[in-house]
Amino acid sequence: MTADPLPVISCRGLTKSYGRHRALSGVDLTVAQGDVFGFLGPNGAGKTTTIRILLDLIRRDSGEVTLLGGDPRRDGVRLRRDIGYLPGELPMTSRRPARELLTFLGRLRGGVDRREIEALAERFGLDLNRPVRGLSKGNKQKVGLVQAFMHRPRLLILDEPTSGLDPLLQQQFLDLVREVRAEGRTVFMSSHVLSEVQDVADQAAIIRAGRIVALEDMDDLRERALRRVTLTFAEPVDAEEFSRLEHVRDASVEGTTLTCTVEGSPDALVKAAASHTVLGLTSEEPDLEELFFTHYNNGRGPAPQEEGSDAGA
Amino acid sequence: MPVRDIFGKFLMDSRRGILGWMIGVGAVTALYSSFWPSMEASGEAMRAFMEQMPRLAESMGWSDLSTAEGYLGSTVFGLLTPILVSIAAIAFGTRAVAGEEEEGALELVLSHPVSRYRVILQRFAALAVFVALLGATIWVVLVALGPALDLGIPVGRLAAAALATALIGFCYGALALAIGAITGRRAYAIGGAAVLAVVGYLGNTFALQQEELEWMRFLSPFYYALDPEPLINGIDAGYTAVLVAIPLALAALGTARFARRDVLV
Repeated sequence: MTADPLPVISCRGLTKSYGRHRALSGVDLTVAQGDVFGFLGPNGAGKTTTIRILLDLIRRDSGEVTLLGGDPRRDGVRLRRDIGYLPGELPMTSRRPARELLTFLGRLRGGVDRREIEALAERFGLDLNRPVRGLSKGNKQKVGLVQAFMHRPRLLILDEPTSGLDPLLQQQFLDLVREVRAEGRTVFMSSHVLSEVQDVADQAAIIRAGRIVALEDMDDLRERALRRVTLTFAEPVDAEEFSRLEHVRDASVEGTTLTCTVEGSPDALVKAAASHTVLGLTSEEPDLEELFFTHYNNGRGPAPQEEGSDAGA
Repeated sequence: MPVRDIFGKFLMDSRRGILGWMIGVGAVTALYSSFWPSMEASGEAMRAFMEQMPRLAESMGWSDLSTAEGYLGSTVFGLLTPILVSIAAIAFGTRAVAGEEEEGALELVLSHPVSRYRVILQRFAALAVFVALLGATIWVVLVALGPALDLGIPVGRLAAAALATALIGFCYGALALAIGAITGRRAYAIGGAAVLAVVGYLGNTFALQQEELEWMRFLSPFYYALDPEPLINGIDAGYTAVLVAIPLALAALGTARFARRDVLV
């Protein structure tokens, strides 16, 4: 979805060093309006540094950044009005209730509709009357998510949004992200694994050692994804009939059971199978993560949580 | 009280600490000033003691313990409350930027549409309110106890002394805040300000015994606050201006650096 020709986020040759440690060595990124962008990489690869530069918490050494048509360095206050940010670490030490913290943060934005806060809190099952200090990690994360979404920003920048959320809440969160996208708003979210964002992301990039090493359109990736499909028929079938089909590989038949690998769309296979009586069908979820990494490592195997010299992320 | 802004919010979040310090400073003021009647009774003995050991008396900052002004000026205003208020202000100033930065709270505030100038200037303003509250506490306690203790010091002079004390605290609190704003490190803020507070205190007391160390007193807010003897002379415009200028200069330095540097790395 690229309704607007101007990208929402554009980074060119972004570098940043902390003393002798080089955190970013030339990051290039483009995020289109209305996209959900997954920003992936191991800890210390430069995800948080990049995000903090976008918010003008950290100042870049060189390179260009355009965010919602402005430069965070010059137009930070104006740009941050349209951004919702979830920090990777949420410090919440106040004895005051969550509602008060959210109201305060809303006032920094010139006021936020209370109903919006209530609605988001209800959605995530967050009790706004409890003091933030005593909240569990998951509940603190909910407070963080509410403050990021409550003013309906044009751009959401979320640093590890799913950390601390149980699977049910992760789904709730992904639903919210889909709604935001449906409204033409943009989501930029980091994670250290693809599986957390693959269901919702339109684009994904991998950063390692301060450099973007992979950029993928998730639909393309899904198209290339391999899945094992097993079909059970009422009568024996001929392997030959299926191995000729488009996208179908390694078809083999054992009695009435066909197993094969499908690369991309299973359309041809389904249509061919439909001419027989199908008793059972199983299809394994493709492992996009493995595909993602093998593609860019030229077969060096799935990548890793390595990278030695990562200090300040 | 509404949590309207960074300023109000920070004060509200700190209100337990603020109240605690007000009680502490008020209690110390009340305790030591209430020794005055018995001190007055043994005035002769004390005067004799001080004549025998003038250097010790000078190094302890005891000028004249036979008058209410001299007694309060040596104890409550010469030692106890300036040190308490300075400790409180250093703790407050440290938390205002460096503490919140290391905790990560500052990151959340700065990711909102607020400028760094606005955040740091409001934190300085909150520090000013805090030391003003402590100064006001000292003043209220002394005004309330004055008649009972027979202090006989005019209300305005007590205010001048309380103001001077608050300004000592403001200087050191602003120093901690500025170091925090420049470095982002809690340890530097608290350590730097505490060391300079000790140097400042000694510079105006023990260093006076050594002629070659006398210059030290010019680096000491204690000197500018205590030397004009506000309990006797009221507010000294020139020295008070110095005590106001120091925090303002520190605020300017801290703000200039804070607006440019990376937050939390």
